[in-house]
Amino acid sequence: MAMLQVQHLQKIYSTRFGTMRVQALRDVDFSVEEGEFVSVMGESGSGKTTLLNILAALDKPTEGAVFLDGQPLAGVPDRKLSAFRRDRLGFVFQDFNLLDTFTLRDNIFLPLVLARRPYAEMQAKLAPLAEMLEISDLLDKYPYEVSGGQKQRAAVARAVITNPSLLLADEPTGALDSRASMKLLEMFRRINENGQTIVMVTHSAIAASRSDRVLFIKDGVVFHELRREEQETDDSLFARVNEALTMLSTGRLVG
Amino acid sequence: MKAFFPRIAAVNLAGNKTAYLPYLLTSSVCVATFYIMLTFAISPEMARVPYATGAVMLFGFGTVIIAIFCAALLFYANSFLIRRRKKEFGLYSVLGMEKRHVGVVLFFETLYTLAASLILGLIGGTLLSQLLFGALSSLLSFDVVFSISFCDAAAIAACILFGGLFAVIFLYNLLHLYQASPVSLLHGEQTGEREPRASWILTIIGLAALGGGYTIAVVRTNAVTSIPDFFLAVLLVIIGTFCLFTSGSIKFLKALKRSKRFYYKPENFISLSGMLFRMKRNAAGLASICILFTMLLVTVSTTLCLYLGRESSLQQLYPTAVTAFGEASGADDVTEALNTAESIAQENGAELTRSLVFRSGTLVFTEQDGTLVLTQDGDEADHFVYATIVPAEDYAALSGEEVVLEPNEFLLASSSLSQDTVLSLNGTEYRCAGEADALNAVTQTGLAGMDMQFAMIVCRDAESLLTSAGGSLTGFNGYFDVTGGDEAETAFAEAIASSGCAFSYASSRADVAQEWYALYGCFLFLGLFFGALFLMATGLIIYYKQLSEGFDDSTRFAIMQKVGLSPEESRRAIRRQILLVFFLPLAAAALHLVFAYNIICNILLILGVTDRMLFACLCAATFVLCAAVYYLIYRLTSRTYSRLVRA
Ligand SMILES: Nc1ncnc2c1ncn2[C@@H]1O[C@H](COP(=O)(O)OP(=O)(O)OP(=O)(O)O)[C@@H](O)[C@H]1O
Ligand SMILES: [Mg+2]
Repeated sequence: MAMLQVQHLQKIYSTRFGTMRVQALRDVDFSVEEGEFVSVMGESGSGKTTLLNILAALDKPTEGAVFLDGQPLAGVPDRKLSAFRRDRLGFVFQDFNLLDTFTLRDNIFLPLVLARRPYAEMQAKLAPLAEMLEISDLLDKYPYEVSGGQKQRAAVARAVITNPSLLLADEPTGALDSRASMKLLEMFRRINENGQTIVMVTHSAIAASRSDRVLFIKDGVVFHELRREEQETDDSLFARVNEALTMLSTGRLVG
Repeated sequence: MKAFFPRIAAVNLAGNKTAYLPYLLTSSVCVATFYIMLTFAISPEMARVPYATGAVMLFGFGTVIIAIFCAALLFYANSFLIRRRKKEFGLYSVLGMEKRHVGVVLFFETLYTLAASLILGLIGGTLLSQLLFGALSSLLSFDVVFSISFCDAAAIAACILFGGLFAVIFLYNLLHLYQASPVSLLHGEQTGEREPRASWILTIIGLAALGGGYTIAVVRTNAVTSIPDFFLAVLLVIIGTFCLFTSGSIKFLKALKRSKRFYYKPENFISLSGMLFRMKRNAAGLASICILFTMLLVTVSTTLCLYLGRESSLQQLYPTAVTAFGEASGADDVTEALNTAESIAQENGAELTRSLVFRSGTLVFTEQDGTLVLTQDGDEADHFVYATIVPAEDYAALSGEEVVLEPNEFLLASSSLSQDTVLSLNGTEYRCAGEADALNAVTQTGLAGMDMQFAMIVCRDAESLLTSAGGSLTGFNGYFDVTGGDEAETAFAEAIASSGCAFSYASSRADVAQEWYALYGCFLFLGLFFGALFLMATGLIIYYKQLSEGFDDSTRFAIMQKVGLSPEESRRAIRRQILLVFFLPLAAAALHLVFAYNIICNILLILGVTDRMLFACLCAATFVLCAAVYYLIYRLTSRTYSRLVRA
């Protein structure tokens, strides 16, 4: 069975007085296998962030359901939601969301501290992770003392240190220049090779071409899907993604 | 178009009302307090209040202090507001509004605030002054109750003072606006969010200052120097408090942080790092709260104690209805004065119920283990005994007892010295042969173990004893009780001072009491008045602290909730943080008060209040009451904080 199952998601935002209704998601339906690295692409306003927020249990869908390891998210009681999110999900934000009052080390420890893990365990988990993400030397610095790419890598470390079932990333390269982006994507791939399931929202075809599968969202539905062929190179996938994007925007591609 | 800037200014004020409303309230209260105090100091009605000269002077003094205090408070509040709004100003510049224009908007904002506070403050002040005048009348026990009218001189002075203050504040803000680049304005709020570095030097200075202040307050028992000592101690404690709050607290928090097991617990993790980060800015606020709160406690409890102890201190100073002094030239003066007193009483149709008349000389001794030795010039003023030497024959006359004394014996009247006291003078040891009961009533009260003790010593050959010790038997004292009430006492005092006998000065207790009570009533009034002002200032500082922390923490908590902090946990962390900030200044203030207790007692002793128990109780009561009000303020303001953080 798939690790993540998204069934007929619908999300309607209504304004406070119910006068205006925006349908952000109409009918989103897909699933993600364990160990997969999936990208989600789509135009601005197509509902990507909305989707990710629902997957992260930060928001609730109007209709439809999300299953993580077969367990429905809607079934998690509210008071356990924080703990659930902390233990089972990792989230990487576009604008890092690191706390200026903590060093990078403490920022990364935050979910573990909240889960009341012993200090020795935190240390043991951090060391290899920091090594892999190449931030070992920066751990005692504060967020305002390091570059954007370094911040984002620390944010990734914070997201995966709890060994979450699913790592969610909302335009993680959005605030980075191309070199830092490439480096971060390299990190994502390494993490994925270690068995981490990843769902990443992105605008960039390059970023998308690093993943196993690309979902295109338009008008609130999954409009198109590209899968990496056996032994297909990044460049080849990149070309196909670009092609799909052009067709999408000119409207010649029909799901 | 012309009304564009004034309108923007009005919109700004309305939009920032969570921050501006307390500011407006504070400046209105400042105007009102200043107006009231000045009205009391200069209004013609006040001058007509009997015996109010001393009190009116106190009000004049109070006006000056209030003016200074208001200036400091308004500057503090303004600096907070401006820091909040830097971002807004930066945005204006980025959007293409010239600094000149922002300046014009600022000008109108200042103008509106000034006008509103003057109007509110003067209306409130006028109403309140009526009320307070009534309260004061009853405090001073005036019989005449009349109302106080609007004092235009005080109102004009308030307009000038606060107009000037706001002008300076406006210029200060303008200067800040012009100095800053738009980018730094935009990020203005974030600056200062660097991890603070605690300096060892400051911590050591703080510890030394606080230790020094406490030591002075506790160890120095010298009543004579206690007032300068007190101010020195206050200064040291203020320095110590500021240093320790700013530097010591950071050191302390960092030490806590170093303990991994303690630090990496959710409760401590969040609040410790948050506190540490904002300690630099926070610390000054917390220290101010602590100092203000201590001042509040000291002012209210001391003035209350003085007021409640006013009867007994008057009794101390005037043990009998009429007290007279003069210069004695010989033993005949006593009989002559007694006869004069008798005839004056008769002329006035009154009866003399008590008359103690005696010659005296004063010597200052130092007490060492129960032995009194003559104080040498340059001796430390420690354990001084102020002794009044009274000739045995005078004592015999006034007491009507037969006094049998050996040459090396004396009688003693003292509230603190024991009957085993030995007097060592010119190589001779004098022993105490008994109590001089008849003089007990007119002996000033001192305290054992203190440097200010009083004794009346009756001995044979007082004149030669005094001369040999460098004194002289030239003092002439009279204590009288007469029947016929206050007026008879005053008349008697006046008559005896001008009767031509050895008394040259006399005053009646009734006469002094009015002025005395007026003074102490004003003390209390001022104490409560300032207490209220301090409390308001404390409230304002707390409020602004909560507000700025709420703004800062709301983003922090939002992020943490995304990472998996449950709402319940964040509520707990917030409560914990609030509580810490709440208790720290309060606990420090209580500690200050405990250490100040001794030295304040000494000062009260000089002012004639000997009841230490009364003062201790009043301190405790004041603390409990003020802490309750403080807590209330805290609860109200922390609601603002929680609302901001949870939003
Ligand atoms: N809280 C909200 N209330 C009302 N409408 C919302 C809300 N959040 C999003 N929307 C609307 O839902 C739609 C989808 O928004 P969403 O943020 O998911 O887009 P997105 O694909 O992430 O866009 P981008 O690529 O620009 O980040 C948009 O039309 C947006 O205006
Ligand atoms: Mg988005």
